[in-house]
Amino acid sequence: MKGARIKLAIWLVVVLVAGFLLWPSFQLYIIIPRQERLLKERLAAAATVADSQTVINEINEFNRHKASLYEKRIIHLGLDLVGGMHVVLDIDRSQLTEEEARRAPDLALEVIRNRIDQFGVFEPTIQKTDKGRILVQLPGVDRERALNIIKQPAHLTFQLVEEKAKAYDALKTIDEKLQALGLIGPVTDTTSLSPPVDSSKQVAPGSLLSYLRSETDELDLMIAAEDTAQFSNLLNKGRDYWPQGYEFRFGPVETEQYGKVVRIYLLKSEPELMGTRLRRAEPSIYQGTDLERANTWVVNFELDREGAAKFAQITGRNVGRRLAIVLDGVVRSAPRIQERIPNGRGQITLNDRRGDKAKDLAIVLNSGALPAPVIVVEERSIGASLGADAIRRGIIASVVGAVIVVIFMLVYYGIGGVLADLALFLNVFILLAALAALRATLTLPGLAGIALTIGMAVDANVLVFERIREELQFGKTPMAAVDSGYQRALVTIIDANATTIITAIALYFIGSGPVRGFAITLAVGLIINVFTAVFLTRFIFDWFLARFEVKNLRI
Amino acid sequence: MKLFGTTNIAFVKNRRIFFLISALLVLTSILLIIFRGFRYGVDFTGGGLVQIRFSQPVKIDAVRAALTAMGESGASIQQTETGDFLIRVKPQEKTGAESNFSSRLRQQLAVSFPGIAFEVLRDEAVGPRISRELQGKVLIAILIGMIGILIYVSFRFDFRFGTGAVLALVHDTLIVLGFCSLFNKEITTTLIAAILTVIGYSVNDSIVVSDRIREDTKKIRKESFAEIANLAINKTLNRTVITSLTTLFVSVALLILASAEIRDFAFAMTVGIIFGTYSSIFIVANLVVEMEQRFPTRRRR
Repeated sequence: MKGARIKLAIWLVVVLVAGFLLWPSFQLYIIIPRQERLLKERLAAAATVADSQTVINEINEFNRHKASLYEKRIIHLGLDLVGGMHVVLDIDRSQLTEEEARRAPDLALEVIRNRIDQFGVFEPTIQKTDKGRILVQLPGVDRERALNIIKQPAHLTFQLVEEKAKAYDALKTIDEKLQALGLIGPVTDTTSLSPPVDSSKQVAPGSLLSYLRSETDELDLMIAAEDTAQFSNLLNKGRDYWPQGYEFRFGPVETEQYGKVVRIYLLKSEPELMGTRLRRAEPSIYQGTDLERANTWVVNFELDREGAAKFAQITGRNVGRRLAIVLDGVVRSAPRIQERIPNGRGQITLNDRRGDKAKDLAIVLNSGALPAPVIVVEERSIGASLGADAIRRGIIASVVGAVIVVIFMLVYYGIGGVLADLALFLNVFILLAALAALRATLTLPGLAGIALTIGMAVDANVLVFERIREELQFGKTPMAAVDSGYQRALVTIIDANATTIITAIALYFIGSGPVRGFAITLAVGLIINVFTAVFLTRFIFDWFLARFEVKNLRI
Repeated sequence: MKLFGTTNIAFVKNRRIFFLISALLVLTSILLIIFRGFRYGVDFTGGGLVQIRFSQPVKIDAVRAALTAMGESGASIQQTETGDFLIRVKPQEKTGAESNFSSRLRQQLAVSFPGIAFEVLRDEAVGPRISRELQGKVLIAILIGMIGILIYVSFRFDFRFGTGAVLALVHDTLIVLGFCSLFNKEITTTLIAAILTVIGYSVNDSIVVSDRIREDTKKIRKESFAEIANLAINKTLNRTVITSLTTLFVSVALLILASAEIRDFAFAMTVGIIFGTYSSIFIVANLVVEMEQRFPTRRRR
C-alpha cells in the first residue's frame, strides 16, 4: 500500500520521541527509588567506617544525579500526591507607605526565596500570584518548621534595658491608672520594690503586680508563662500610661526550677541599632560559662563594618548598662555591657538542644527581614502518608478501570477491539510523554483525568466501529466500509471532543493547582485521543485489510 | 457481538413521558438544592480544616475536650472510616486565626495526649477573602464553559441544536447537584471540576445524536423531521450506551477503590454520566423535535 511505509515511519518516530521524553520521568519515579532503597540498605549494613564512607560518597554522587533529573523535562508530582506545603501569603500593608507597599511583594519574594534556598528544598515553587500575593509550594517538608522560616519577620533590634526597679514602678503606676479607670480592684501595695514580691498579700488581685512571681531574680521581673496572655492583655489596656519613650517587651518562655516563666523588660523604644546591619549569622554550640546553657545551640552574628562601628560606639557609651537583643519583639537576651565591643560580634541564645532552631534562625537572619509581616491567606498542605495512600489507591482504581475497558472492547469488537486497545495504550503513553514535555504537574484529580480519558479514549473508536458496522450492513466491501466509516465519524469525533476541550479551558480558569492539573490532563488527553483514534487505528485497519485481503470483515 | 440489534424504539413519539420524567427529576433536584442545600468545603466557606491520625485509638470526646481547652469549642469534629479525625473551624474575618489553627492544635494535642503520637495528614486554611474570590472564579468558569459550548454548538449546528444541547446540559448539571445535595457531598473545587467535566461529557453525547440528525436530514428527504430524529437516536443508541459504559467502568472503579477526595469526584462523574446518557437518548433530540414542531422553519420538499 502506497504511503504505508511513511505512515509507519511517522508512528515509529512518534513512539520513539514519546519514549525519549518519558525516559527521565521513568528513571526518576521507577529506577531511582529502587536504587535509593538499595543504597540505604548498604549504608545500614556497612561494617566499617571506611565502608560507610564509600557508600556515603556513592549516595552523594547519586543525589547529584537525582537533582540533575529535575532539570530535565519530567512529569512533576503535585503536592497532593507527594505531600508537602502549599501556602499563599499576603503582606500586611497596614503599616507601610504607598511606595513601600508597592515594592513589598518583590522584596518579600526575594527574602523568602533566599530563606528557602538556604533551607534546602527539592523543587520549591516561590512565585508572585495575583494581587501581590506570594505562592510557596514546598514538597515533602516539615510544615511547622518551614512555615516558621517563611513567616518570621526577622526584625532584629538592639535596645537599651531599664533596670528592674524602674520597670516595677512603671507597672505600679499603670496599675493605679487602671484601678482609677475601674478595670482592676484597689491597689493596696504601698511599699516600693521589696523582693521577693509576695503577690498574695501586698497587691490587689488581678492587678499587673499580682502576676509577678515572688521567685524573681535580681535582674528581671518574671511572670508565670501561663499568665502571659492575660498579663499582656492587661498591660496593653494601660498602654497610654507606659513611660514616655519606653516599651514593655517579653522574653521567651524559660524553664526554671519552679516552673515556666517569662521575663518582662522595660526597653527604650528607640533602637540603638537595627539588624539590617548584619553581615553574617551562623549556628553554633554555646561555649560560654553559663552552665544552664551548656549543650544548647546559639546563633553567632557579625555586624557589617558600619554596624560594627555603631555597635562599638553604643557599647562604649553604655558600659554597665544592659543591651537587649530583640528579635521580632521578643527579648532573646539582655546581657550587661562589660566593655566597649569593637568587632561587632554578638550572640543570640536560644533554648535549643537539637540545633534546628539555631540553624533556622541563622537562615532567616542571613536572608534579611521581611518588609512587613506576612499572613497565610490560603493553605493546602498534605502529609506525606496521605499522598502516598492517595497515589496507591488512585493507580489501583485506574488500572482496574482500564483493564475492564480493555477486556470489554476485546469481547465486544473482536479484531476492532484489539486495535482500539492498542490505540488506548499508545494514547496513555503519548499523553504521559506530552505531560513530561510540558513539565506538567500530575495531581490527584489529574490522575483521575487520565483514568477518565481511558474511558473516553475508546469513544472515537466506538463511533468509527459502529459506523463501519452500519456501512457493512449496507453491503459495502470491508475496504469501502472502513473508508466511509472513518470519513463520516471524523466530523462527529472532532465536534464531540471540541466541547469537552472547551470545558477543560473553562476549568483552567478556576486556577487552583489540583484542578488546573486536571484541566491540562483532560485537554491534552482528548487531543491525543483524536489523533490516535483517527490516524493510528485507521492506518492499521487499512494495512490489515490490504495485507490479508479481508473479504468478510466482522467487527 | 452487539448490545442492541437494529432497534426502532419510539423515542420521539413518547417524548412527553420522558419530558415528564425529566421535569420531575429536575424539579426534585431544584427543591433539594433550595431546601436541603449543600455542605460547602473549606474552599468556599473559608476557615480551617485539619486531618489528624493518631497512632492508637482516641475517643472523639477526648479530641473535643482538647479543642475546648484551646478555646475552639466551636470546631466541628468528624471521624472518617479510617479512624482519622477531621477538624474544621470557621473563618475568622478579622484575625485570620484559621491560618494558625493547625499550629495551635498541634501544640494542644501534644499536651492533651501525652505519649500518643499523631500525624497531621492534611492542613487546609482558606481566608474569607480567598474563598469569596474562589466563588467568583467558579461562577466565571461555569459561565465560560456554558457560553463556549452554546457558541460552538450554535456555530457548528444551528441555534436549535445549541439550545437543545445547553438545556440538556443544565438538566444534567441540576440532577448531579441534586444528588450531591441528597448524599450530602462536600462541595469542593475538585467536585466542581467533576461537574464541569460532566457538562462537557453531556454535550459530547448530545452532539453525536445531533450530528446524526443533521446528516440524515440531508440524505433522507421523504420522512418527517420527527421520524428522522427517531431513526438517528436508534442508530446512535449502541455508540451512546457503549461509550457511557466504558467511561462508567472507570468512574465506578474510582468510586469504589480510590481515596476519599477522588471518590466524591467519581460520584459526581458517575451520576453525570448516567444522566448525561439518559438525556442524550431521551431528551436532546426530542427537544429539537418539539421546537421544530412549534416553530417550523425547516421546510423540506
